Amino acid sequence: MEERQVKLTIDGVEVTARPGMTVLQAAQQAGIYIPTLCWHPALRPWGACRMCVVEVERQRGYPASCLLPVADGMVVRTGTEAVQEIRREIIEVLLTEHPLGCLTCHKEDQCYTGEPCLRSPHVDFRCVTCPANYRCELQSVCDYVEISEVRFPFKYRGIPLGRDPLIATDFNLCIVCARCVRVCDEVRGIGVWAVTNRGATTIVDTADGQPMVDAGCIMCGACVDVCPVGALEERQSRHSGPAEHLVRTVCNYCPVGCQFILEVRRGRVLRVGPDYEAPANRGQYCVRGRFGVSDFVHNPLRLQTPMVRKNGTLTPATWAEALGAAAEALKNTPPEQVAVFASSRLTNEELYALQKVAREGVGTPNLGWDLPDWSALEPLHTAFGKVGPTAAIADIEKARAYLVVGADPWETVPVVGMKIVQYTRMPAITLPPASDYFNYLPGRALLPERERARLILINPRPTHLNRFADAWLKVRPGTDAWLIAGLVKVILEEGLADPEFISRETVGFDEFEAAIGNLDLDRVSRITGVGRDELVRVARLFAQNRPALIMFGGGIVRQGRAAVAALVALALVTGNVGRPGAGILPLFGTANSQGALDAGAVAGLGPGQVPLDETPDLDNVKTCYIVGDSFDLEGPAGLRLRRLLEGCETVIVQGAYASPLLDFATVLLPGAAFAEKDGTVTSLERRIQRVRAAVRPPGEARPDLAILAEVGRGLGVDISPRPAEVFAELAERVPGFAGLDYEELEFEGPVVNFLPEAFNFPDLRLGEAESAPDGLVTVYPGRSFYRYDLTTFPGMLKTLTTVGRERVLEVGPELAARLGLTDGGAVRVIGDGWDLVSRVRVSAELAGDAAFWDFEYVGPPGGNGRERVPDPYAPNPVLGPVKVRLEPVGG
Amino acid sequence: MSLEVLVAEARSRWERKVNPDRPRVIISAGSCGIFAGARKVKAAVIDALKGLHVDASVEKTGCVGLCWAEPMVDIQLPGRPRVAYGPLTPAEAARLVEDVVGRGDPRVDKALYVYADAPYEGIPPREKTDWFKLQYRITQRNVGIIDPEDLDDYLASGGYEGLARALTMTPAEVVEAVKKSGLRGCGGAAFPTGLKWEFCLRARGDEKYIICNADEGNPGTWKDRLIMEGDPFQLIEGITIAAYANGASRGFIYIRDEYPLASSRVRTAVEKLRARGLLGDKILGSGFSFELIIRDGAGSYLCGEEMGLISSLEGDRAMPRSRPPFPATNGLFYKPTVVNNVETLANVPQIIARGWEWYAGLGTERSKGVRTITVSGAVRRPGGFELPFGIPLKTVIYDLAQADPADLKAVQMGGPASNILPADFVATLPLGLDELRDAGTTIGSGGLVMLGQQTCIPNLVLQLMEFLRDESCGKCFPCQMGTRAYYNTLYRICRGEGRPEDLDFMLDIAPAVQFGSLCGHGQVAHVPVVDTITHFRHEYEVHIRERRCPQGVCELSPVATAV
Repeated sequence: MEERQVKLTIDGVEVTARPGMTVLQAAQQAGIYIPTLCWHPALRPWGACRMCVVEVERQRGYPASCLLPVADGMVVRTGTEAVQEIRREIIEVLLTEHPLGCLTCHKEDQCYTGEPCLRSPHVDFRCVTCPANYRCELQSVCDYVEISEVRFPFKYRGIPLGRDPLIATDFNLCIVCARCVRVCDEVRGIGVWAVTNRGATTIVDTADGQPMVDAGCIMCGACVDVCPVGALEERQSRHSGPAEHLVRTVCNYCPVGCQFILEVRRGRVLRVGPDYEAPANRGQYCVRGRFGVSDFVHNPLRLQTPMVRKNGTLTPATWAEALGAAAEALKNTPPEQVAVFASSRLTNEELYALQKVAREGVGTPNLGWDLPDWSALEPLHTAFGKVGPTAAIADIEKARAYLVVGADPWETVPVVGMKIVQYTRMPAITLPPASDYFNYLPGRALLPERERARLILINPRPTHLNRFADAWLKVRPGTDAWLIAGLVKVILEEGLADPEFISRETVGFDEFEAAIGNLDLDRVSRITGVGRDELVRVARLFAQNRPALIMFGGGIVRQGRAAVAALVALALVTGNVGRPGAGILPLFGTANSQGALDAGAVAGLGPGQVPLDETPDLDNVKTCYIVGDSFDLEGPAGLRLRRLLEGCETVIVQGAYASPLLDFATVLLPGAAFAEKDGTVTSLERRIQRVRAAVRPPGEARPDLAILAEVGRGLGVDISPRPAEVFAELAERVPGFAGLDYEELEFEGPVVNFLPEAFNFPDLRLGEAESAPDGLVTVYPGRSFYRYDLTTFPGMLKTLTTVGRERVLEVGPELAARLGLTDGGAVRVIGDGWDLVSRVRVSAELAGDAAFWDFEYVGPPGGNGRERVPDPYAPNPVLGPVKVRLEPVGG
Repeated sequence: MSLEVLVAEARSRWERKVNPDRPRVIISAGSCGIFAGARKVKAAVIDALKGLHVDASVEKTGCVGLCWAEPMVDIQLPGRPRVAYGPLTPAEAARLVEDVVGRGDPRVDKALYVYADAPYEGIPPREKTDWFKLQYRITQRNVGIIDPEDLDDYLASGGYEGLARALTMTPAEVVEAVKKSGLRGCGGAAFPTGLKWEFCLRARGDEKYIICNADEGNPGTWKDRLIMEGDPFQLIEGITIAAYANGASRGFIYIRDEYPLASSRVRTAVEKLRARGLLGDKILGSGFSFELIIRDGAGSYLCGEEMGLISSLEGDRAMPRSRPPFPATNGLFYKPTVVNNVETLANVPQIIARGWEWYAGLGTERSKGVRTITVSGAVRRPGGFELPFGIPLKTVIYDLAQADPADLKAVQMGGPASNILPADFVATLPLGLDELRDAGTTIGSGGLVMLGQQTCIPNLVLQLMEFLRDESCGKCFPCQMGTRAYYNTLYRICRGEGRPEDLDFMLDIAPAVQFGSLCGHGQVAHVPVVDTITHFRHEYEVHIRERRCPQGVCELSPVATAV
């Protein structure tokens, strides 16, 4: 459909705009600058600062262009003397309460950008006291309207500075543009900030002036990013001044694929800035990406020199020495006694090179560790020809129902969680077409002609999303497969399936129907602890709101393939595949899990997700090559890796940080952090995006691909040290990557979700519901923003640990009563060869006898809370929750 | 129950009421009367009646608009007309009851008027008195006469004829009638009501709302309170007709929290109407259903601004959204919404019942109909008068309110942020919307504040600015910071610390405040300042140059610290 175009004239330039745009948007599109203070690209227009006022021919007064819809034949002038005068007067009265040392300093001519003027102590009102100096939008607007003199006395408000962690607040600088209030409410769905007081004392604050975290803050930093002045600033980089150059890259923490801008100054990453055009996250990210990056890259624990263990101690060595030692060990050990472990935070190129080293150089099938569990995800491969998403993050906007299973997106993939909240929380506020022009503006209340989406949660414990949910199935831990199969059964029984889709696009429905036919719903109800009525209600809710998006996380993967198979079947019977707003979105654990699958760095799966006949055996490993940094030896299950390493003769550690692994390392190869290397990563929606080097690795550290190329050369494998060439090789082997050019992945990485012609129904093998052995309790990992991964990661970042919550073992009331645990008391957790003490929280909201843990305790070697559990169907070991004994401590 | 039956019953009850077989004492019990002592008067009256051992009915009514005569008491003896007396102290009221009820003495000395066509014992008929002969009472027609909590009284006075007639018309016809009547908004902006309704009627939306703006916050304006306290039924009938005309299924009355009596009387009225089937499902047996919800105001001045009110009703802070989109297309919860003032809506029943031609015939060619003007300040007889447009303001000020020409310095027209004009100039203007606009001013919400010679203009503007500053919602920069800058500057001037350039500064930032502000609050915040600097510049100059206050109002600091 061809869209009507509106033609108008702005400052004598003819501009074409879509109907519904505002004059400000049209001007920006045409490259015409209109000053703004309260307007922000991520927010609905607010119309408060009045900086964007313009003159329109044949129109009375001076309308604010951020709220003025374009009209044909409009003649707009943006910088006439009258308009400038209005702006100037407003700024002038504004400056009666905004410190103006930066504008009036008589030494300004001698000033270097962002340098402290230590030699001018007699300047009593100094620019350097403002953290936003040279990064201040008010300064730019003052320049634009040419404020030269200030006629009125300045009054300091005297509001005490904030004492919150991470975010430094100084509301003496606030201009009450309410951007922070709006971004927290409209975009993040939280509402920490509010406009308080009235009249001349109007100011932004939390409700009742409580600390931010108490007001519900999750420290995402969105308010810091939108603040036009220095009122909200990142505490750690407060007075570091502006950046020298900017580098766009992708966050390395979780797999959402948030792009952001690294602000670099003098070889250091100062802070992270948003890019509101970024495809996956639209300028939003979470505490980890916002406040963790600088600390992560420039960490005192960074490794700088290659080392080799001599006489029992690690001693610095040359690269040649270290690489030689590594290659020798890998060459001289029998292949089946070599294990190669990768972190799924590496780039696609590195993971590809790594599997090449393992398979072609060494010839070992012992590959993997901190990687998605291919065996559990196999039903996705069966149905869709690949393990990966069949929907994109943007589909959240189009879906009418979300089913979130075994995941807490609000904490693990916060930008996805935020988006779910955006589209579920509003009551049905719809806009009639009369106000068409709002349709182009972002914001939560302005969902055009659209009902809010329904949210269904399946989780044994409540999460933040519960307050927005239409249904919460409090499933007994470990029985999700039964529950989802039950939903499928109800949908088939009630005729809510999509027979046309099934017959047209799927294969194997008859076998599936036969298999599910004898599923007894009462038995499902008994096993899962979910009432039959509730099951029916949710099945209807899900099936009647299409398109629907299914999101699942580690909670499902840990249960093995049956639960994933049931979810695939649920999507197929309701026809929720391959149409806008429908599909399955796996919420992986770490940044490049999807890339690791595509690059084939997983045992049993070659590049391009070609299944291989490989049987890994980790019992006789003598030489271990560990690449990356998400390895932990402290958690209960981490002891397994520790035991494995203890049995090794050679341990080659290639990483960027001094971690407990160093105790075992015989060869140490210092690698680069993500801001120091180039490459690509694949997000959970299978979007391939560029990671860019912003700073140089410290000391002698090298990018991991360069190291892998050297190791490969020692083993006689040809690996290019240049990411572009490796990517080209990878692109040839991965279907869907074909035709992609590394150089062309500049800004918006493509989403490569190709679906097969027909979808195979997976084989639904529910197995038997297992009961915990006597006296043992199954403890499941929970997660939190601040302790997303393991101790070796944000744990060592001082910025993040300032906010972390207390470590607790959360138990259901039944379990607490049975074991005599009290709320607030202590418990000894005894596992297989380890034990530790934790605080207890008894939560009535938990299902049955569930027990959950703050993640890092359960954090296993790979960080995904997995332990070996035999699965007859699995080619790989499936890792699951930990079985422990609990004993109350003290009273 | 059909309307005919209801009205017939109501009429017979009303007939019995106005032709009583025992004495009636009617206390004027609006908020104004109560503040003037109506409760004590009532107690004294009851005591006096007890002392006389007379069986009399003591009733209440709303405020008739003669503020100076409060507390007022009407007395009717069997077979005699109803006579209004006032003002009365409790002791005087007791004496009056003893004289009138006990001895049959009509007490001409305290009498104001009689409800009759001819003089009674020398007491003039109501319509012949100075205060009523110029009035044309439509919204106030029952105020001061009926019991505001008795639905029968209202029905007997022709109530609900308008709705009954509207239900026989199509919504478009009702809108057309209102449009042709020339009715314009009485809240201040004087936007044609019919046009507003037409926009809403045409707007698409699955649900529409009607909002009655009863957050009457302008100092010096109390016309809406008179209606809500004196005749809430007529307002609700108007809202119901408006809802029918606009296709709204739900309505809200947003009543200022400082009007507890109005709120309680409207609540009572809604309950009574619901009980008789005049509100709720299938009104008067038609297919039209309408639910009316009463909301107490959130207490800020900006809650009375159209968009601020909507935002407050939605549960947010009263910060006006910007227009467009207008409420007619995207109002409450982004649904098509009509927001009308109390007086506007109270006009509607009579317009529909008596036909638009009748209403359009009132007033002048350019300003049709009537408006309630409330006059206060430096006058002898403050009060509220419902006047047809076209009457000279001179008459209102000097004849109705009886201001002393020698004492009158200036007049503030309709609200705290409105024109402050010299009295001589105002005396040349007629009451009229367009007529006043031609003269560069407006009647606003209809509250005229008379300023006497002893008024210190800079100090007055300082008070106004303090109000405007404190009541700014703080959203848009020019309003929040402009009113603050005005206040700070005026404060210095009134402290004797003014600087010669202060006046120019205040004039300089006026365009920024006027054209920059988001809503009406800021757009007119500069008006009192600019007007008074124009008309009373010398007073400012005396404060600044000579550091003295000619009226002796300002407490000038002994040592001037201005730089």
